[in-house]
Amino acid sequence: MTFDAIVVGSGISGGWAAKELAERGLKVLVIERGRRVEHGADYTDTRSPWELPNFGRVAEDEKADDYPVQSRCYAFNTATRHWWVNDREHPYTTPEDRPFSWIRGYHLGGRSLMWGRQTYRLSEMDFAANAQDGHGVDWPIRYADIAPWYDHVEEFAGISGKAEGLAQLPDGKFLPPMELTAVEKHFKARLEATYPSRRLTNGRCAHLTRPTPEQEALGRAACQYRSACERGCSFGAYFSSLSATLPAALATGNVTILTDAIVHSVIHDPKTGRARGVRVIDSGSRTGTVHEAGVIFLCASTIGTAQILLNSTSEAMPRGLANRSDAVGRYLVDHLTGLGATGIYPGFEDSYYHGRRPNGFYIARYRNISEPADGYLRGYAYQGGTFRSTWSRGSAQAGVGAAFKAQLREPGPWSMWLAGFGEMLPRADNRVTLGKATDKFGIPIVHIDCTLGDNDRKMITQINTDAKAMLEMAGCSEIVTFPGDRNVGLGVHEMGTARMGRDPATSVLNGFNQAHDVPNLFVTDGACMTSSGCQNPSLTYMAITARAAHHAVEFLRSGAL
Amino acid sequence: MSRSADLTGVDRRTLIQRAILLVGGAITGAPQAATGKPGHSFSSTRRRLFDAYADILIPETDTPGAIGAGVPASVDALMRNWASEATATLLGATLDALDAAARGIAGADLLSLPAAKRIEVIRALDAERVGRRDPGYLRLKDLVLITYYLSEPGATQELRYELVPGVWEASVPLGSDRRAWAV
Repeated sequence: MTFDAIVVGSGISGGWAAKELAERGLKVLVIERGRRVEHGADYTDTRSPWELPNFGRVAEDEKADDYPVQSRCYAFNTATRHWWVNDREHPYTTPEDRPFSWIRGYHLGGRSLMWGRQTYRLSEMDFAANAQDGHGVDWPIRYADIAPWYDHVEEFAGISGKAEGLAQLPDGKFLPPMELTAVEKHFKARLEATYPSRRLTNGRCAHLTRPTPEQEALGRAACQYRSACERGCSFGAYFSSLSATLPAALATGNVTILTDAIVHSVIHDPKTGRARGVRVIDSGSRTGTVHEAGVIFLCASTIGTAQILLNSTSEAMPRGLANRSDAVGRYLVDHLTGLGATGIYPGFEDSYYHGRRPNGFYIARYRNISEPADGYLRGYAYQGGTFRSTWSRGSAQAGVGAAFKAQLREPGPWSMWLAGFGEMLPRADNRVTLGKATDKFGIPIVHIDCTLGDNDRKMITQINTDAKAMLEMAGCSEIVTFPGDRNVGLGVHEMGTARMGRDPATSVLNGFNQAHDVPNLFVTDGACMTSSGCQNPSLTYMAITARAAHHAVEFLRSGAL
Repeated sequence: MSRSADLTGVDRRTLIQRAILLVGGAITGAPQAATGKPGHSFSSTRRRLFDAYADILIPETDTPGAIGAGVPASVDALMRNWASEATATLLGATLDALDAAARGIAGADLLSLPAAKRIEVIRALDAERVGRRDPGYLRLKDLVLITYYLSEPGATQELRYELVPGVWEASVPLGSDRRAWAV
């Protein structure tokens, strides 16, 4: 069978590429390195806590031996263990003193099954930031280029949120927001009175609060407020490749999905200057095959895509495909995370909630916008939430017997948390390279060398200072700031290893996500990100992928490809 | 108000499964069984100490206590399927230390003390160990709380639990039913 397009990867970006290309009539082959999983049948979301192995706790030895990296992600437990790679079987290296946590899921749908589902648009100031302060190359696009594509993907994916009219956090096509708790409303009023330029809004997330007919036609239903999302949602209430894009893509009749197929490299034809296809290794039999197509979309995730490009060497391109600039693998960023503070919020003892909201609130960026920063460029936003403590507070409290049990029966005081997400500056030294050793499939193992810079460290300090000050302002007690000692990578927002740019000498992709040097090769996952903003990036991958697919088909039709 | 408060557990489950099938889902298969190394277990003496401790920590009241909710069997399973060698050793030593401390206070094995005295001794040892944040003791206490409050009786009788709330009510009065949500 011949294909018009190959999409490598089936996560958030790959799913969108498959859908958009197939809906425009292309015959598409989606290649996924992991196993096939079925929407619903492979989920564990109908289980109550007592039905989960070890009440959700993965065996300590197994966690230490097989999942030392993956288990650092909050969503890792016995109900989700099958979504994470076994670290022993999928090695990568880092310098000993510079750890990087690479969180991965190798299966159909990729990390779209376990993602955090927070969805925020980048703004004009994010696309202009590099040009303005000189860090990173200039984005070849601006907000106006991507705005209609944000509209397009939001209407299909279903994004819950509230319009605020903020320049730094553009509004989208929103489904109804998830309401704030009484404490959050109180905090919002205090915050905005004390700091007039800070804005607290309902978390924006890829959950259906009022499904559209289009979403219902795909078998998706409204959020049931179980907050078991990372187990997979049998209701299809949150956006994933399995709930949304792949079913839509398959409905065109134009899509073939190949799983357990690891892309080794892209084949470059020096005569035409084009990519001819991909070399694929069957993960079971370890045999190799070649698949060819006229257009190739790499959506293998930021580090995976860099690995493929760097491994696609040829006489004409000895340091990897589309790498004239030597930018492939470089400028790796993550968001600065694991920062912020938590505290006990006074009052509201008679107020509670019903349901488990898989979402919280968001304080939009204000540093270097409406308030100056303490000696650094760019800025950060906060995600936050409130809850009343439950029985788990008991192990740290003295007490036994009926009185202790009676006390734990009632909800405890309200807690509030603020978690910062900061923008890391792109730096050439933060990079992914290939080591000499190969994995069991014969593919060179990735070496990740990524550290924080001065700007990042200064920002980290103020993220914690501000969080503490805001909780103090609200009258919180027992305030604890987060230690800020997490490895880079644990934001699970890695980006930048094949950046877009105007100049082929300093960037990998042009303004259509097309490789400068290989016109039929597109990269639309996190690798393409020229800078990261401080917003959760998946929505931007969706929009940028849909836009690139649109242009790829236009170029095909016009004969430019 | 809970939309499902008027349904029995079985009816509610049927409805939930029907709802999932309606949206094209399937009822899930069993999660993977525990794998790997041979598990650990408490000696019979330690097991009796543990049961006595769990019963004192969470006694039966108008709802089942730790024993009625199956905490001993759950902790046995956790020792087999979850605990590392280091954790098993720490928990065993913590139980031994409780017994030794009881002998120091009351002059007899914990298990041979009359019930009232047993509670008094455990109450004192709990306060002392939580006060100095004894790591082994905090883990032991945590283990009882986890296996009790996440058990079906703990979550649904002592506390409240809904598999599918179906609704987000951001602010409701904590009314006549003052029980916390288990999760």
